[in-house]
Amino acid sequence: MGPPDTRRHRFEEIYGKYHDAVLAYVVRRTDNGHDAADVLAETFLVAWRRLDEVPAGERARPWLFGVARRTLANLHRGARRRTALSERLRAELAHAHPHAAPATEPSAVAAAFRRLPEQDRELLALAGWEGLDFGEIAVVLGCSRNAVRIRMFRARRRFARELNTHEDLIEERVAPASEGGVA
Amino acid sequence: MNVERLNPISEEEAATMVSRQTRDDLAERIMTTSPDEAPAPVRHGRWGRRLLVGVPLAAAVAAAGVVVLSAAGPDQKVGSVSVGPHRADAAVLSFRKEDGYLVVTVKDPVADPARYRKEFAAHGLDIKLDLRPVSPRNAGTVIFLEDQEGSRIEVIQAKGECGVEICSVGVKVPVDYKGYAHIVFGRAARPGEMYDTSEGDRPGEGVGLPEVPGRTVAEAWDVLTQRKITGVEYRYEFRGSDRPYPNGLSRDQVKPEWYVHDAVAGSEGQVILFVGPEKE
Repeated sequence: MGPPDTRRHRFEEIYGKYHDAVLAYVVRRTDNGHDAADVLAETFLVAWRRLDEVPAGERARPWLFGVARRTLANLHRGARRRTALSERLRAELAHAHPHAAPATEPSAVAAAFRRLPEQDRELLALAGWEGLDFGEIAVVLGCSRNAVRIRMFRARRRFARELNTHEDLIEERVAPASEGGVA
Repeated sequence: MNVERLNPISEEEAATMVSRQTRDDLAERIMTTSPDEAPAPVRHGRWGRRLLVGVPLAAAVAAAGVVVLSAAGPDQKVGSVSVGPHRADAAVLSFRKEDGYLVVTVKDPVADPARYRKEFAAHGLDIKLDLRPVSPRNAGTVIFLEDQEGSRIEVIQAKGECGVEICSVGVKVPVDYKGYAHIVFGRAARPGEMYDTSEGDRPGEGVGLPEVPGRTVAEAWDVLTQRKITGVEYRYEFRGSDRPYPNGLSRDQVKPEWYVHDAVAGSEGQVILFVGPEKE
């Protein structure tokens, strides 16, 4: 833990560089601006408090996503921690939040995507939306690169299958298979 | 297959949702909190984890509800099933008390994990035990351990002494232990059974290809035939990409002169070979 100025400088650098990426990550995975604001604030609060653990360089990005992911998971479990840091942010995001756009996308692709288990959607989204490679996804999920590689293959295959069978299915929903937070 | 176009919002769009002022304000507010305050790190749960070796596969397998133990040919029976009628009723664990501990040893290394669970439960313990096939040098070692009460369970390892008939591994559980624990030991693999990877297992070791990088597909096929492994999936890799075959290859598409980059034991009773026309 360096002197205060060094800490501030490092945090400002990380914040400046990754704020938008984390915000986008969070907005994509929340239903409303309040949740998005809380998760964003909490994520950077964790980064501030655990600044020494934030990896240098580009590795900081998946690390922050990993924190945001766990914060989201806690949110879903009802363990919300209001930081009181984010009132104004909440208000701004409440207006602008796109309200989980894919849910309303009518295309076959979106329907197939929605039918995938949660775990598959998460992987495909980390690659397709955040543009992460296998190594970075492994950082987010806290698992090995090899595991990501294997799971990604299965996810893509299931997605392809869902797309192929789309026309045979009428509103059939596959219950999301939760991994129970164990990555 | 275009997940990209399902993206609800781009980073640039997201950026416009928050004003410069609010953004700076949040950073300032965060930095006024003391870094020394209880950091309340966000964690998965309250598990104390000592060893997490091989977890990704194990976790994926658990999530998929697939039993990894059996990967044999159709004429073989391995893992949890049918090891002779006499075993069906016999205890699969042995329990004895010793210095405030309950010492539990494995009597049947290939029993159904549900039976271990049941016998632990009969002693008031919420402990999940599995034995999974691993490479010979990892047999008898712990490949996964998760315990709730912070390392109070001691494991009895028996390196190199855990076959499919006799295995000397076990656990020492404090008599007052009330928490949940999950322990996975490695045991010897049967012919045709793939290894669950564990610490120090090199890629491909699970299919008897310890020097995988650089081997040809034809060489890998020979070894797989010897080991009676028939379920093989092929993943294409070429200069860091899986294009143009992101969904894998059929055996017909794989050229014998190609190279194996990696070989791993998958669930669903299969080996996964990562192959490509160039050495990695």
